[in-house]
Amino acid sequence: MVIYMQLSTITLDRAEPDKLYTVTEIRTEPAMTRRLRELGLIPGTDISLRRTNWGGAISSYMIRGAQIAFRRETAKRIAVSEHFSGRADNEP
Amino acid sequence: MSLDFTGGKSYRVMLAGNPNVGKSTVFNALTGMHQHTGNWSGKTVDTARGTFRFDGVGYELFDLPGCYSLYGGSGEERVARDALSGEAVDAVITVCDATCLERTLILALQVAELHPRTVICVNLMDEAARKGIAVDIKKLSELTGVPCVGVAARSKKGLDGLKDTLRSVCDSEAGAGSRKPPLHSERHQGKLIIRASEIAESCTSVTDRNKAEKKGRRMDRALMGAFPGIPIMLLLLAFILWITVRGANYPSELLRSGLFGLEEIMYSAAIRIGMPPWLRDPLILGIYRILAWVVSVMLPPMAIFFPLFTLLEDFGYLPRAAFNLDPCLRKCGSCGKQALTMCMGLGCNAVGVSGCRIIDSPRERRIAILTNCLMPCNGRFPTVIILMTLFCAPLGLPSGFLSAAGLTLLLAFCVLLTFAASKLLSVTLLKGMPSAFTLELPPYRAPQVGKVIVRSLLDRTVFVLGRAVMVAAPAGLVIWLCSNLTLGDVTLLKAISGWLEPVARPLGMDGVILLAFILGFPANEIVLPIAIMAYSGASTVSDLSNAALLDLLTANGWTTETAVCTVLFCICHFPCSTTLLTVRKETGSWKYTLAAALLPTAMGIVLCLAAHGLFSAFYG
Repeated sequence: MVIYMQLSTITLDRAEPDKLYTVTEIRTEPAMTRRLRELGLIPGTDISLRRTNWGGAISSYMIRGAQIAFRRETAKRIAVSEHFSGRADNEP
Repeated sequence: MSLDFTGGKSYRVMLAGNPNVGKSTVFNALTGMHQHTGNWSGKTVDTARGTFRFDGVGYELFDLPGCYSLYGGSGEERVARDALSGEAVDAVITVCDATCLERTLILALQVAELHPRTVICVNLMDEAARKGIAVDIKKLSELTGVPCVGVAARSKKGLDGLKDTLRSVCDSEAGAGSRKPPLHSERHQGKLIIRASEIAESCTSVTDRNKAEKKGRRMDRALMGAFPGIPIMLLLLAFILWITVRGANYPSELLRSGLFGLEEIMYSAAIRIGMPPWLRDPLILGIYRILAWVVSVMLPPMAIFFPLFTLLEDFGYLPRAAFNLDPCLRKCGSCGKQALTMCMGLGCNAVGVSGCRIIDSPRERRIAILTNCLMPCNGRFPTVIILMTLFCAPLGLPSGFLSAAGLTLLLAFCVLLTFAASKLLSVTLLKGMPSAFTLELPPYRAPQVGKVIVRSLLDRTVFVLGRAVMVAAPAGLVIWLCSNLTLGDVTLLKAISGWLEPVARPLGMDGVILLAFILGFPANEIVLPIAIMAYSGASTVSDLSNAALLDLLTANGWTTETAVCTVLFCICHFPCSTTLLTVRKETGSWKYTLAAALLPTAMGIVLCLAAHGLFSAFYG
């Protein structure tokens, strides 16, 4: 019995709804980085996608208990990793 | 601490907290004042001040603007930081949200670092209970090292505990010595965030992932996103407009007959006491009449529109609408919040302009301010509706349906104009990059319907009456003078409209209409009455039925083209004086105020020229 744990890093704009992610890196402009930090978004924060509009132009996320929305170009510059942890008991 | 004028002690207390935590509700509950609170960040922009007494001691409470952090770059944060580092601050209460403790605690920790005498007030305990969230206040106090109190400010629970704790904090000698200034490096702030998160986690227990949360998610699924979010939004807006227009009819009639009846009484009384005609006529037939007209036309629609809008705001819907419209407005160089200022502008453009404070980026704020008056306010609705009804009547459709459909089309047109103007501004005068846009979507909260309606009604009544007195009254005097003084053998009114004739014709209107717009600068409601007065040669404004009005207008050369051009110019012309003054106040610059006056006028001129050209081409 082996437990597989896989971390895959994507940008936030590719997040799937209601899955939990953890922020690994924030590469936005300084003003935006500061604004995000005020809202509690720093590397290590948990984040999940809540709602999307117009094919992803703007989306809202749950950050530390609050729902915050920002645009795709901001989400593109935030790297998050999803935790896959599962038990694989049928090995190839 | 200071001495108040009764000679007793008085402590100076600051009230800080994130936006949307109910800080202003706490403020109102403590001071008994009635500052406007809204479920929308950016509501409090100036520091409000109130007082209360508890146990023989006076407290001076300052409600600081909501901010997320003391060390960010925005105006609110600077105000908060300056106020807190000021000399004479005896204590600080930081308000946190029990349903969102993790985030709201961050500011509380920052404040506690800066100020030894701090109280953490955890508000919205009732909302949290409804969501199945329990906060252990005692543990919170231990872990933060600061006295904490749980309250539900809306229902006035826990306030005595808050006042008690405040008193003991103020009386204590804690931190009387100098303090090391806190670090605001990124690293330190990051540590604070993590500490807030850990503390919040240990003190909060979620008993069940329950229905309040689920209801919120379901509402978001319906209200946010292009579908069904946008159709719902349009329906909601149409509904509010419909109620405003319909609901205002009867009260307007009542007010009008009442106030005009009063005028007769006043007039005969004036005759009886021997008031000379040169005083009596301008006073009663000039000033009072216009006043009566403005109040009876303006007050009912505003008294309906704004309470409804405020209810939506308190419910928490407005940020969702901004979310839906952001992509569209972004393409026009602005942001989603402009949609909300446009809606406010439908009620009153001055309110719309000051509402632009909710837009963070200065550039985008200016775009919203300059284009706001392209949305017709309550004062312009009646004019537009009457004209549309009158000139579409020959088409044989029922007038109720017609005015609704026509109004909707017109509004759609106004929205497109606003988009175009915003785009134009963003590539010329107000060039720049899209801003760092974030939007907080607060949880839905049941609005306190009774309170909102009453407070909004009072606010609106005071505003309209104030404006009527200050602005319409002098205008009434000027109008009376123009229609009663003669230049040669015609009244001043006829003379000036004659001079304006050559300017007005290419625009598809006539001199009288143009003069009416100019004289209507103080308040748009009086534009139509002035035109009626000028046409009928009366020396004062009077009331006319629709049929009589149509006859009067056609007898004076009005055609469909005149109606179309007048409606177009009514939408696109310089804002009223109150709005322009508000623009000046909000932008602090005469340059932008001038732009706010010129932009819509220029657009109106272009549209009218085009319409006139089209009509001439088709009808010769």
